[in-house]
Amino acid sequence: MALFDGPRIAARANADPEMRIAARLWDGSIRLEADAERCDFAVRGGVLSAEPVKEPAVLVSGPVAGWREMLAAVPRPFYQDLMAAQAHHGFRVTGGESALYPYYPAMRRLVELLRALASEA
Amino acid sequence: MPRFDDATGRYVYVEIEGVEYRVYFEETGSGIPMLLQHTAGADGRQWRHLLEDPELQQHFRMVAYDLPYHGKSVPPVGVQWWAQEYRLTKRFLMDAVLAIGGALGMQRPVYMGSSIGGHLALDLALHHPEAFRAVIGVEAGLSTPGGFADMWYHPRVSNDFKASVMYGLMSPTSPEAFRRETAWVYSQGAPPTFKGDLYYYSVDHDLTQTAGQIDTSRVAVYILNGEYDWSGTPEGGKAAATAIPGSHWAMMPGLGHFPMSEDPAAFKACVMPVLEAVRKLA
Repeated sequence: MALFDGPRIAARANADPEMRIAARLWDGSIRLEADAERCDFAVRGGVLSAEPVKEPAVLVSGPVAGWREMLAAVPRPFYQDLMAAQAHHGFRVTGGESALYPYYPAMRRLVELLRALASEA
Repeated sequence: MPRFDDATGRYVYVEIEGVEYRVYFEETGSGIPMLLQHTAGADGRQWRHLLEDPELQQHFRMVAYDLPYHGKSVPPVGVQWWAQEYRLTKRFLMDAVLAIGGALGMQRPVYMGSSIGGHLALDLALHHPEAFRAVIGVEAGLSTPGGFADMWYHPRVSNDFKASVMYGLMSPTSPEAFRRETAWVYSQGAPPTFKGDLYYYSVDHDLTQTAGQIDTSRVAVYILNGEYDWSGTPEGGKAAATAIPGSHWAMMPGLGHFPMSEDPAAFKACVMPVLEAVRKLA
C-alpha cells in the first residue's frame, strides 16, 4: 500500500489555513520519497498540485519504516520533525537556504497534515 | 478587578568585560536566590510559568533575566555593535551571570538554565564553584558541535525559520498553545543573536576533556534532558553526568528542548525533586 496519496495530500494542504499562510508566495516543488515510492508536487503561489516534477527543489527522502514512524499519531523521539529525523534517523532533506528554509514552516505543517491523513487511513 | 502576574520587571545596570549593559529582569518569590537563564536567541519570558508558581515562590527568590542583546536588554550605548559580528563567548556569558547575580545581591544563588543555559551550568560549576550552591543544567551536555552555521543568520532566511525549527525540538505531547508561544518568542529574537549564541553552544562550550574536574563537593550539579530534545539529547546529558563524579541526571519524559515553556506542568514535576534536594543543601 502506498504511503502517499498525492491528490489527497494536495487537497488537504490547500484547504488548511495554517498551510496557506506558511506557503504564501511559494513557487517551487517538493518530492516525498519513501524507498522506491515517489510523490511529487508543484507549488505555485503556495498552492500544491500533485504532478511529476523533473528536479524537485525540496526533497524529503527516507525509508518506508522511517516514514511510518514519522507519521505515527504520536511519533517516537526524533521522528517528530524533519530536521530531527535527518539528524538521528537517516532521512535526507534537501533545498537549504534557497528552496527549503524560507518555507520550512510550510514543510513542517505539511508533515503534520501527512500525519493527520495517516491517522485517518 | 484587574488580574496581575506576581512577577515584577526592572532594569539593572551591570558591567561586563568593561562595558555597561542595561539588563532587564523579572523577579518573584523569596528565600533561596535562583537565577534563571534562557536559551539561545530567546529571552526570560521562557520562565514565566515557573516565576508564577506559588509553591516555588515560597522557597525561592527567582530572577529571570534577558541577556544583553536579548529581549528587553538592548545593545549597549557606546559600542559600535552594528559594525561587529555578534558572538556569545563562554567568558562573557559566565561574567554576565556573575555580574547580574552580584548586582542583585544574590549570595551563592542556585543557577538554572536551559540549552546554552544548560551548558553554562556545567561551565559555571567548573570555573566558579564558589559562587553557586547548586547548578541545574537543563538540556545540558559535554559538547554540541556543528550548530554554529550560516543558516541561522542568512539573508534568505527569516526568523520564521528559526521559530519553526525550534517548534520541532519540542515534544509532540506538549500542549500546543505553549509550543506555539515558545516558537513565537523565538521569532522575535534579533536576527544575529541565535547564530551568535550558538558560537558558545557549539564551539566555546566543550567539557569533553575537563568535566571530570568539576568538584561536586563544592557545588551540586544536576542535569535534566527532555526525551524529545534532539539537540541536547538524553544520551548527551547522561554522558555529562557520567563524566562528573557526584552529579545527578534524569530524563524528562514527554518533554523537548524547552521544557519550562513548552509544558510547564510536566517540567515542574521533573524539577521539583531537584529543587527539594537543593533546599536541603541550603
